[in-house]
Amino acid sequence: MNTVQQRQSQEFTNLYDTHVDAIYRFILFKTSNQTLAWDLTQECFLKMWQYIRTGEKDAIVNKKAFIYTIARNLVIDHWRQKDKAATVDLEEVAFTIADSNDLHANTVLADDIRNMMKLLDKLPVHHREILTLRYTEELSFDEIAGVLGKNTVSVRVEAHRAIKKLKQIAQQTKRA
Amino acid sequence: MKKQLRNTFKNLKYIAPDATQKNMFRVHLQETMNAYPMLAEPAKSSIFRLSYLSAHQSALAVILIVLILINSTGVTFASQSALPGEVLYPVKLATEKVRIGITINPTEKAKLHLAFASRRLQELQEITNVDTIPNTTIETAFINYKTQLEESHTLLNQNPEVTNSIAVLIDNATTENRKSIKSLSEKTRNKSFAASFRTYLEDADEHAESKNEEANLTLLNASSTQDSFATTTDSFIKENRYKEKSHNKIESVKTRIREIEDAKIHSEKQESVNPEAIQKIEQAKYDIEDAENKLEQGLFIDSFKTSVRARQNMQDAKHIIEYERERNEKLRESKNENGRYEIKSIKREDDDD
Repeated sequence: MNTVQQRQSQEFTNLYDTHVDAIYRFILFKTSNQTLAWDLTQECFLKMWQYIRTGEKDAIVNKKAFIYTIARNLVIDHWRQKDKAATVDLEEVAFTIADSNDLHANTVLADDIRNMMKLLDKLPVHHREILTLRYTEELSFDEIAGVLGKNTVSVRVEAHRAIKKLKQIAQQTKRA
Repeated sequence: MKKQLRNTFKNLKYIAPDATQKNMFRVHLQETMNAYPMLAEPAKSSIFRLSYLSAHQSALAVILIVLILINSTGVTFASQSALPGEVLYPVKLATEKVRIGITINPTEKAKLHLAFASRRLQELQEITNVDTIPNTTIETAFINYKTQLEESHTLLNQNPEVTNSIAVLIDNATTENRKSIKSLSEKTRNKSFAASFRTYLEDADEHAESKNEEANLTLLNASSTQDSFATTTDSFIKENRYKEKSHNKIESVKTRIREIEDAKIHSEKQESVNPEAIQKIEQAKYDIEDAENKLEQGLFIDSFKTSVRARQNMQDAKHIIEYERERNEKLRESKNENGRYEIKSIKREDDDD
């Protein structure tokens, strides 16, 4: 490998380190399956490297948004092949939390996450997608629009509706 | 979005793949890159390539920047007076986005966001001259208005060195925005779209008031750490600034408490009111009385802070009562001929997507 190739490889490794957790979460929330989510995450980065090495997506401006798009398309392709949507409730999905030595904090955190996943499970998938991209992964509305292939105003309107719905569900759950 | 919900979303970030698997795949990725290295020369990055835009948007941004700078063409000029729903309106929004993008100074950026938020309200003033407006146009305009306000608020939190200056800007802008919203409310009272429009106006007013309060509390918190250096005159000026603010807020909250009490009585005629709502109303009444006492004693800043707390309790009560009322209405609609309740699936507005 020459110097430029080495530099590109290093940049891509950095991209992987930066975004692997986020892409995994994104796919997990869509598929509700840990094993599948990890498989598709790996496939996503391999595909991304393929695009970069062949120059197919010439000078990808926003690599972050592009990798989400690949991830999303992989999930769609998977469902088309398997001919079914996720059948497992999101709240039942097992998940691992990034390493921490504080057992109590981990327990509290796990409860918090599970409660949120219960709420998210009640939302339609596309609302879940927008909210997690915006408030968990902190993508901008422009980036989300790029990932979903919509215009920014539509994404903002949908996000607004999704938050309203989530708040209603949260209040209903609180009263139950 | 409430802070708690926002924090919980952020907690989802702790979900991660197994660390061993991640490291194993990292090694595999590096082996893949060694085996299949780069083929094409990466495209040279252009100084005109703005990272947050796509290639097409970047090209448009360059054109717009040049046009803004030389300010000589009719297109961008004409677009500045475009209204929602008109052909050139997207150009107007794109121009605003570019102006924000090329502004580095956070205070100047905040000024732009707030100016564009005000623009959205001015546009609403103009488009409401007609008798009918598509609901999507109204909804989009209000969302764009709130988004600009949110963006200015984000700058407040991100840049501690200019927090005070941005907070003052937000305070002034939201005070003016609330006047515009009130004027819009009076203007559209008899229009055919008045009912749905009022909902958006109330939401926008509440949002502006909430941002105004946050900005003022930020200012007060920032200055409280500097009190030991403040002169007697500075403290006096600061206290008096909040005399009028506190007085206005107390009057506003008292009016709304009366409205909520009326709404509570209406609810009680049909079914009992949620105890949590009653508790919130009582707390709001207690707080407002406390705020009035502090105002009389000349403790204007404390009075303001207490009246903010009262308003928030009152808003919580209002949301609880509204939620209960909607839920009960849905249950009543589900009642069948025999007087028994059926569980009907409630169609979500997006079920047809």
